[in-house]
Amino acid sequence: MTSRETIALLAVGLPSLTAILVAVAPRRAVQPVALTGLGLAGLAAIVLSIVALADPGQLEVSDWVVIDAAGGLMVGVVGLVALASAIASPAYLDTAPSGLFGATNGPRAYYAALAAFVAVLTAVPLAGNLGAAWLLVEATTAASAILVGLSGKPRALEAGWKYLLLTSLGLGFSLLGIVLLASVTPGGTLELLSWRSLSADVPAGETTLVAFLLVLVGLAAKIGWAPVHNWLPDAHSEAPPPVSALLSAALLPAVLLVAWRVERALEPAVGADTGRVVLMGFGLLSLAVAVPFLWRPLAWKRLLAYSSLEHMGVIALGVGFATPIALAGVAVHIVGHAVAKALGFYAATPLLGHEPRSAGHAVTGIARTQPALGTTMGLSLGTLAGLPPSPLFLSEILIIAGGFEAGHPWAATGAAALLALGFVGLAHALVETTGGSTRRRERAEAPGLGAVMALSAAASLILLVLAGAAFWLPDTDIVEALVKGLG
Amino acid sequence: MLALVAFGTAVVATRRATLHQLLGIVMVENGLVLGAIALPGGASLAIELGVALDLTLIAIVAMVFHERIFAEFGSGDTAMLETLRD
Repeated sequence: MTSRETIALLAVGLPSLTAILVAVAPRRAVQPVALTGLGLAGLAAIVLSIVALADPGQLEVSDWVVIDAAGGLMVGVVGLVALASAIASPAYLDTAPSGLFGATNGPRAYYAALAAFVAVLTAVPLAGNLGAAWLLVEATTAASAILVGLSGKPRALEAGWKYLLLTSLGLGFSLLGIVLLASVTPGGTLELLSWRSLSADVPAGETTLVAFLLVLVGLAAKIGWAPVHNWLPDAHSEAPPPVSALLSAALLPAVLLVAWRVERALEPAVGADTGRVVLMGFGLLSLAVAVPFLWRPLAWKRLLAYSSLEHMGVIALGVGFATPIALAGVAVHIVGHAVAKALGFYAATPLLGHEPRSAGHAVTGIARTQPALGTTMGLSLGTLAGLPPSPLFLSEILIIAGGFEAGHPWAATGAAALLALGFVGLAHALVETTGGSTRRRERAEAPGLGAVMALSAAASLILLVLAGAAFWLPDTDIVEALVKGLG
Repeated sequence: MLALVAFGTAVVATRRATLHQLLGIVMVENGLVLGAIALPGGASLAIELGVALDLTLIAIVAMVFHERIFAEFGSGDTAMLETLRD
């Protein structure tokens, strides 16, 4: 076993172990055990990411496990968000209603499901074959649906049910595509569908094309690409904030990575143009669907959810363009979006205590009554809007430039126009949310603000470093490895 | 096999009871199992066990939701689950 595989085993094993320990620990020990376990798991994932990105040219590819630059990057993002979600969890549990499992077992159920979710989520980018990737993605549904419905409120139950049903149905279609792929592959077993054997063994033909589309449409339901995104705003707005952060910042891009691997692996069979056009189509459609919602006064977490839809669209365009510049943009975009979006969701806990109306309505003037909270929300929203010096501004420019370079001027122009419209919508929301007029009591309490402020400071630092990295990244080995893929 | 998948999808789309929707999902998966069995090389044991485990988990989670929805709304009619929209 190589050192990378050992760290990967730790990164997946630690949260799994945490889930088991939390389930059997005495009641008082639940929170310390869970936070320690999740913290260590997050660190292991970040270490794996650093090791993988430090030497991006070196690949670890077997039939079951893949550790490459793209997977390393994604594992790092999952670890970072898991770590931050662990820090933000106690404040949420202090304010949360007892929920689905009652006051005594509520925290235990929450932490056990959270740790299990983190474990499968960390494993998704490392899956070495299509069957295993499908299994892990389906497992994230089971773990996270219970977390979405955990508060037990009617709205949360509705959101959790929709999420469970739509994503399992979508993944059913993916599995149909996988079975079709296996049936056209010589030998015809599910075991052979490792990423490399997909590119080498799957013959071209209409069945392959249909299978490819089925797999991608099913995964799109999980990524939240339009037009199969209906569950996304509901689940993200009703889940506990630390879980919303994991869903939006880690789960969506991790599944997107699976879709990207499928497209890359099947390029020889379905044609590079066809595969990339499908990704670009999902990207443009998601952008077009998301942008009108960014113009409307939405509740804080719903606004963030529609912004996720927008950003998944941008990433889809980037991987569809597939030039080195566009992929450098994708790398920066995934990390920047994760940090800013997770921070925005963490801010929802103190926000709800400060202004209870924020659960269902757009709120205004938070910076007038709680300057620290308002600043955090402004930082998150400004970064997501792509307000310079936001790293997302730079990554969007890289991706659009990549589109022109790849010879898709129309897609790139359309994306630029939609992003500009989205920017105006979010900038307006930014001004209203932080500085708008309000009749709220001065300095009303905001529970759990301390943890959010600490995360906010860390996030600003990461975002600044990332904005610098966006200038340096396009010429590095990391991008070269992303372009090369597993080939 | 395709008929079973299509029928299961139709059940999920048209039935309003939570239990029937869950049965629709199970029906789709049943169709897929038929397809996987028909593969010339068969499905690998690891994948097959994984699918079984995943589906059990999904069904358990769905049953938790089903029971809570009954307790909260008094019925499993998904027409009542339409409060979240923009």
